[in-house]
Amino acid sequence: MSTALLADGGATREWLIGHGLNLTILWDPADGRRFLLGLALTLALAGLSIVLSLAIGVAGAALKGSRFAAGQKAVAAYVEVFRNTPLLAQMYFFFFGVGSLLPMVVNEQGEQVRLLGSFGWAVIVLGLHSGAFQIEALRGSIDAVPRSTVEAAEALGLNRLQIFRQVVAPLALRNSLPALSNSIAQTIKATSVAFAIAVPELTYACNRIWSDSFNVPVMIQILLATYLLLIGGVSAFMRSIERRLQLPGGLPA
Amino acid sequence: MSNQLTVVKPRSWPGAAFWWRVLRWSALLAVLGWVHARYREPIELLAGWTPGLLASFLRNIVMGLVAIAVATALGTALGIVQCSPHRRRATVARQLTLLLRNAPWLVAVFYVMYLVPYEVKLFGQYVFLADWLKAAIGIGVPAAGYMSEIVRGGIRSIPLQQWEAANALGLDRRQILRRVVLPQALRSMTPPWMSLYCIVTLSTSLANILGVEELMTSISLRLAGETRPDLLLPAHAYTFIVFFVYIYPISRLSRRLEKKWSLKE
Repeated sequence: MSTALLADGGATREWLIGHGLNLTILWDPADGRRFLLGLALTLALAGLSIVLSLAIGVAGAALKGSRFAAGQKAVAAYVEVFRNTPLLAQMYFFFFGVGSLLPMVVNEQGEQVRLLGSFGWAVIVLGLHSGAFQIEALRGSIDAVPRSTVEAAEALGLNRLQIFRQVVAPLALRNSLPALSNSIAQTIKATSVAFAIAVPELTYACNRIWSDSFNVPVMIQILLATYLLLIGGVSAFMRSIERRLQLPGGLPA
Repeated sequence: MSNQLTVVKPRSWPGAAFWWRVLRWSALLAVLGWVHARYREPIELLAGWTPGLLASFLRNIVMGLVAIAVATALGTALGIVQCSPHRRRATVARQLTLLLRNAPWLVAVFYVMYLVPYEVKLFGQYVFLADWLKAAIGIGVPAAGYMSEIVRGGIRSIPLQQWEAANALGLDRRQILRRVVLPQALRSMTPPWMSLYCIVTLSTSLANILGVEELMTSISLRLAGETRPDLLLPAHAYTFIVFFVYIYPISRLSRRLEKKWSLKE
């Protein structure tokens, strides 16, 4: 892209700048690198925290469905706390509050740093935050499997584990896909809050770029467009999976 | 049923359930006592700051109200157009809703903060827009996408026969919406609307990133004045608790209403 812009001796670039489109990420290598690093970090943050939230969701939904009363209460308390407090407060609480209790270690450059940096905390907090929503979604999709289907499986002589693995789980998984797609979109949106603890993700990168290059209006549009494209792409991908897994004439999706 | 004998048990010593409750409460008190002993000085300091901090939390509440007002007005309009029989208009509203729903709220706040001037000309007069007001609008606009979906769901939940009956009475589309459909949809729309209010109020803390004076900014400023790392954990736990105490009852009421009203239908 940058070579194409340089091929005409910078005329296109001048034209773009002249029209108020100072797209420094295309011709300033430092800005370009910052933007791409930000994009990569946003993707990494989203990916890792979704994996963490799914693990929390599965464990929490299993505990909630068990007969272990204390476990059920603990899960309910966790969900209430994380759903009813601001994500930003959670970030600050874990990064500044809990993080200040962690021991210092020496990194490769010989500097004293905390055991867990801002990226690590961002993954944990985002994972915990969307995990709380994931538990509800997974539990809901397990409960949505009709009781009669389970009874039919019991009548066929399947035991509890077999019923869960061969009957309930495949149906619940399909039920949970729309909610999963939604929570992935939510998590990608939420990664922008990691800005607050200085994780150089997309929002942070763009903020630095527009502060240095004075191109706020352009960069902010690009920032928004990048998020919209990311989320749109993920949603389209999830919808295609949903269509592929749809049961012919089976449960209404 | 009526001639069934009811055996009245004589009052006896409390059972196991009672002792469990005593045990739980004393465990809770022990934990609270430990926390108080461990963080006695920070807690007293925070208690001293409380009047000032609650005053700045009031800013969060006002911002939340402005944001939900913006979201409700904009979202209701969008939601109604989404259900319009006019295909093209409905598609435009649908796409706009999707766009608002997919925009990260922090980016939306940046958008309004940086691209809306601090003064606007309204009816020939310059009106100063405070930064907290702009941040609140920035939160309200993406929330309108959610409101639009709530309204669409509410309108869809009303049976088609209601439309036909109202039509037979000679009401036009606008009258049907205003006098027949929306009043009935109000019930199914209220619980999700309350949840949206909770989300919007929680998100007002994002304004802290842009330097708007609210609860978290106020705490950070006070912390900066103290330079005491041991204060970090209790102070951030404090914001947690303040938001939770305000939001939890609303979100609980919302869920209770949802359960109660969905059973009747």
